[in-house]
Amino acid sequence: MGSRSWLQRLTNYWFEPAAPTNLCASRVLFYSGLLVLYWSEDFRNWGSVSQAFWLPLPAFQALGLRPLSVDSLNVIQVVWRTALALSAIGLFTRVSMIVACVLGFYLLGLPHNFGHVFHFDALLVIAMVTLAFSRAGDAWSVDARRLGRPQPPPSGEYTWPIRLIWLSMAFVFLGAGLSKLRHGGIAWVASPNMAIILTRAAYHVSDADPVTTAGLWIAAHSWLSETLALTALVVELGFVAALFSVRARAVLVPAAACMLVGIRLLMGPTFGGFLIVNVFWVPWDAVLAWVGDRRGWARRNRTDPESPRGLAVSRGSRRASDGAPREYVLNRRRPAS
Amino acid sequence: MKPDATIAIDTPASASHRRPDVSAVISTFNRCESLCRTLDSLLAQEVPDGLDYEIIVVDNNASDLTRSVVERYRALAPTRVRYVFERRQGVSYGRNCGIHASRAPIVAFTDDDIKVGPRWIETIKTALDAHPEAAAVGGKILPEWPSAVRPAWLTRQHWGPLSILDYGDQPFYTSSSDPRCLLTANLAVRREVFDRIGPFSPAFPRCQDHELQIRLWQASERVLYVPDLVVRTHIDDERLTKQYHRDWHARHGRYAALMRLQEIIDSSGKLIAPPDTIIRLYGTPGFVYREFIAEALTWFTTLVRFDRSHPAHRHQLQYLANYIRRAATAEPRSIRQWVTEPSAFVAAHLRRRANAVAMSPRRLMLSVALVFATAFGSLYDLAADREHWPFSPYAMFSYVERQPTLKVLRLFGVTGDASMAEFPLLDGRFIQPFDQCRLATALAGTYYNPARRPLITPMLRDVLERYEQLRRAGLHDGPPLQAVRLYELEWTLDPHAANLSSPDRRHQLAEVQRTEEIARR
Repeated sequence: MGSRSWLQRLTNYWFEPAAPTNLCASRVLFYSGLLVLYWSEDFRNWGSVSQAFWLPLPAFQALGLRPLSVDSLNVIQVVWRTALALSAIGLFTRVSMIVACVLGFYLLGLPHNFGHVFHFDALLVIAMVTLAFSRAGDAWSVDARRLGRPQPPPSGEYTWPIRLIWLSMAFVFLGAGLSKLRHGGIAWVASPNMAIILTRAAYHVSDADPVTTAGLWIAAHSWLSETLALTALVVELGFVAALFSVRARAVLVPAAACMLVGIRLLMGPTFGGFLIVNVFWVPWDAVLAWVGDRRGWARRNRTDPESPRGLAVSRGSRRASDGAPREYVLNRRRPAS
Repeated sequence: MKPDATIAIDTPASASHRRPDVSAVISTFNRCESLCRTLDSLLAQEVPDGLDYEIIVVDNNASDLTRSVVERYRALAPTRVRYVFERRQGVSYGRNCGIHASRAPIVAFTDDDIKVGPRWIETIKTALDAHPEAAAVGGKILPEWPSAVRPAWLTRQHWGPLSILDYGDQPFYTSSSDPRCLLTANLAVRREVFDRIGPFSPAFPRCQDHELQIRLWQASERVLYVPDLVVRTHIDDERLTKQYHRDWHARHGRYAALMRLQEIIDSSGKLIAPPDTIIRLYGTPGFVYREFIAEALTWFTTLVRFDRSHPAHRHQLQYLANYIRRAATAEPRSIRQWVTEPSAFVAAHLRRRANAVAMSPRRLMLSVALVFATAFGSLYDLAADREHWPFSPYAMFSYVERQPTLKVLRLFGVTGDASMAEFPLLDGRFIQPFDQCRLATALAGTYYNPARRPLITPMLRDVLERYEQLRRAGLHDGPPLQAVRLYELEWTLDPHAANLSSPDRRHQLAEVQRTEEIARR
């Protein structure tokens, strides 16, 4: 492959002009998800924690950030949640996404300055920074409707933020996989390591306790725990393939999501934020097209009593011709005459 | 073509001699020994009756015995051999002089170190008669190796500098869609073609055959490769050195830059009209720089792998470097232009890329910077195995647990009632805004670090104070606490976690009692 085509492929990957649907729909879901996830989270109390705990992150140290007072934190979290809500609905989107990013960086980073760094929200911060620089409010927003803006033409503006969030997520999994190989090697899989990790989780060592005791059952079966470890490692190391291959994406993204859910169920750590970021992997334009097709198909069939699926529902009627509720009829094949 | 004052042409010995069918032109300069070989082979041609040819030796201002050698051959074949003198140095001048002196409708070119085959003239005539659509014909140039052993690196891909040419045994046309160059050591052109496209360019002391053929292809002419048209070139030892090859590629790069060869041959190898939109830096398109960098990387890779193909990459590098250098010096530039041109080049590229992806150049730059910053942050933490939130190597759970044991620090509350009962502060409501893991890790990080250990008491006091505040505010229903104690607990893991409340070892590390001040708060 020549250098010219290599650069062209790289450019296409990052900046291939695309419609704003994927980015903007993801924006709506991402900020909505954040709002739900952090609705009950109270950051105020970090303002009252003793300075003896203060062990600042490099970023906080470099920026000279300190814990503010309880009242100030209260104001900040209210403004942040408002910014999240505005970003989700797309009102004053550019400003609200920037505010959400700046305040989110402070609020989500603050708890990690007290002696322990968790990783469940780091990706959210990177995603917020990416969106703050993006044009994610060009469609699917109150702004677009308010200003009467037409649907913007395809542009690379709507591709690179999604790709960057993908890349960041791939780095997370790749990092986790490589760290395991670096620090543990093959023994991370081929040893009682996973069984010990699963058993320890029952001893209140994580930020939350496991939801089930299935981890103990798995730990009792060495082949199962080793298979689990191998699967986790394969998913983590292989996740990079999701960046380039549609097929790999279809397998690895759900697999990684299942892995995070599995970690919560069996070991305790919570990765809700990571799961929210998965909205950027969904091809919303294809989903909408599919839904549109389905709806169009259903409409067509409602007016076509001879349709092969037998959806003989008259327009406007809440009941099918045979008197059964429409939902029921929609899922039923017409009996052979 | 008008005669030039610097040209002196001998007329044939017999002016009444009829017009030949083929004029063989040899431009020579100080190579009278090898010229003899060439003339011998040309005079020994087996030609059918009715086919006549002449040999025109162009003395390109030689200072050796060229003239007397030619005179000797003229004495042998006075009607066939002609001597022409061209004062202006350069093979293009020499060949143009030969074209001017030629009388035949076909002008065949060869070099003064070539031995042509016995039916060379006949093959040329037959091929051009059989293919009136061909403007020229060319053929193989096969090597006559010296007796010395050939160097191992001299593979087939190094034949270019040796003027060896062998495109196989199937005839084909070279044209704008297949612009493979045939060399003037074995090339015959219809004389009328020169009237249409002009003679050899004197601006090209080297590569003039390539330049001529590019003009032919651009004029939609075709050149026929005839596998039976064979000449042999003597390879002398000097041409087997790497230095010779490096010099050849450097020269080739310079003349290729004059032809803009990299621009007029596209990636699929076709001759194209160079687009006006090419963005240049110092006269060279950006992709040539990319090719140069890619070639340098490949060369380096082959070098460290001890790959035997590395001289080829080194030569290509030499070619590209001289291409770039020649293109840069083709036009005079002020110092200011030398300084400002790179930024203009980058800006133009950026504008083009931005246009292609429907973005503004500023936004494109911003997004690229963000991508690079994010990738760099992630990769740095990954490589250095260090944490710079929000980047991280994500090393949690990555160390292999070998022993089914667990050692943790845990905070216990001591109730203020008479029982003085202890209970672990695990419930998030008791230790807000911490959770069990974050608090235990923070306490462990402080306790096990001698420099920070004095902070453990204020930390425990802070936990106790906030527990009481939260309790009094009704945010949890825990009992009033008299003290908090920090324990180091150690378990042997039970498969059912049945020993959760009875660790193997329990060692108190610190304690903070409730004071009046805490009670008041």
